[in-house]
Amino acid sequence: MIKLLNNILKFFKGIQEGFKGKSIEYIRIEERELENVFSLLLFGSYIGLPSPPAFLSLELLPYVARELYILGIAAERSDDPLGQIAEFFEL
Amino acid sequence: MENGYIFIGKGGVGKTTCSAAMALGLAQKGKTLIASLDPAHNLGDVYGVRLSGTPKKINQSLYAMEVDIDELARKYIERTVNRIKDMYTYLKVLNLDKYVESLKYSPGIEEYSILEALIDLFSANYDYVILDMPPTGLTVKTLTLPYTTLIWIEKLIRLRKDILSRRMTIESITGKKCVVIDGKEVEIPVSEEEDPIFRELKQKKEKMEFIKNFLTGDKCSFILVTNPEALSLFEGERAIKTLKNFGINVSKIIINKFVEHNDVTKKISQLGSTLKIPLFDREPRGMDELTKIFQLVEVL
Repeated sequence: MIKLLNNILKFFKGIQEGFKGKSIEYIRIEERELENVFSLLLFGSYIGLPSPPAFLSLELLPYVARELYILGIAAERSDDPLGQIAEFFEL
Repeated sequence: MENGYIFIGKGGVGKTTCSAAMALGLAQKGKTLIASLDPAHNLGDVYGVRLSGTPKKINQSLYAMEVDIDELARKYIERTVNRIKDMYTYLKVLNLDKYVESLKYSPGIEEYSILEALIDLFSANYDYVILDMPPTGLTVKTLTLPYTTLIWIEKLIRLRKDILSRRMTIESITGKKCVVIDGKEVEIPVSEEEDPIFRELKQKKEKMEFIKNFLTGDKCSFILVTNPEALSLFEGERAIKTLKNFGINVSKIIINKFVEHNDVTKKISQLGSTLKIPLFDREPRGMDELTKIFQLVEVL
């Protein structure tokens, strides 16, 4: 009986973990997109987008190594939008 | 107490002469500094002395200087590039010096350098500070820079908060995460306190708000110098309107080289209360002639 209850508990925990994993995945995608937008806003002038005054981007430059890295990855992925959609739907 | 006077106006209207006269008069009341922020200086010519980027004693309590904006911009870029070099150590193999020169011409750098110089001058230990600003276009861009920058900073702060809140959610479920950049393991900051970008944005916001409050506060007074000529009056009127939109009040107007002129008299009266300095037989130069002008502008 206890073994059965444990199994049921494990079953529900598994479902819970599954939902948790899925919801984190969506938050991760959202966070990644926000980071892309942030980097684009800071360094958009390189591709002709309106950008903050030059001194603001310049003074933030020492702290944005990670953001530049993300921008690089986003630029690499930009030629494969179908790949990104496929990744999103886990195809 | 009002102890700062900022002279603005179209190029060639007599800002330097009027501000030099004002400084000479104020020096009788207390320790006074006059600084030219115009890239094309002629403050030294008006006083008949050679000036540089450091204050020079003109008389008992008057100091004058011509701020080298190009030099300030170069120093500012150099400082920032050195900070970048410290953070991106792998860039040390590159010669960044050649980029310093080109960055100097990036939009906004000259204006920001002038703004920093303006704040430094007003923080200096003088009873009165008088600034002879560059021609209208550059001055308006400089004085409105804190407002446009604040719009950007607020947008970036909002976005950064959104990013950090999502990172926090992810971390609370999956635990602390690190990324590897350039062979180094970097911990991902999740809170506003530990995120250097958020901290830097917040500091910049405070600095810009301080400058904005200073420009709109009662510590400094804006004086527009114009000539009784249609173009000069139109430009002055536009500058007043633009600055007013940003909360900066140009409270005093000097009509320099005034002669009765039928076609502009109406335009001048539309500007409201103005102080008229007549057109002299010859250009006022030297202390005696400047003192005569001060007797006219003293009422300001």
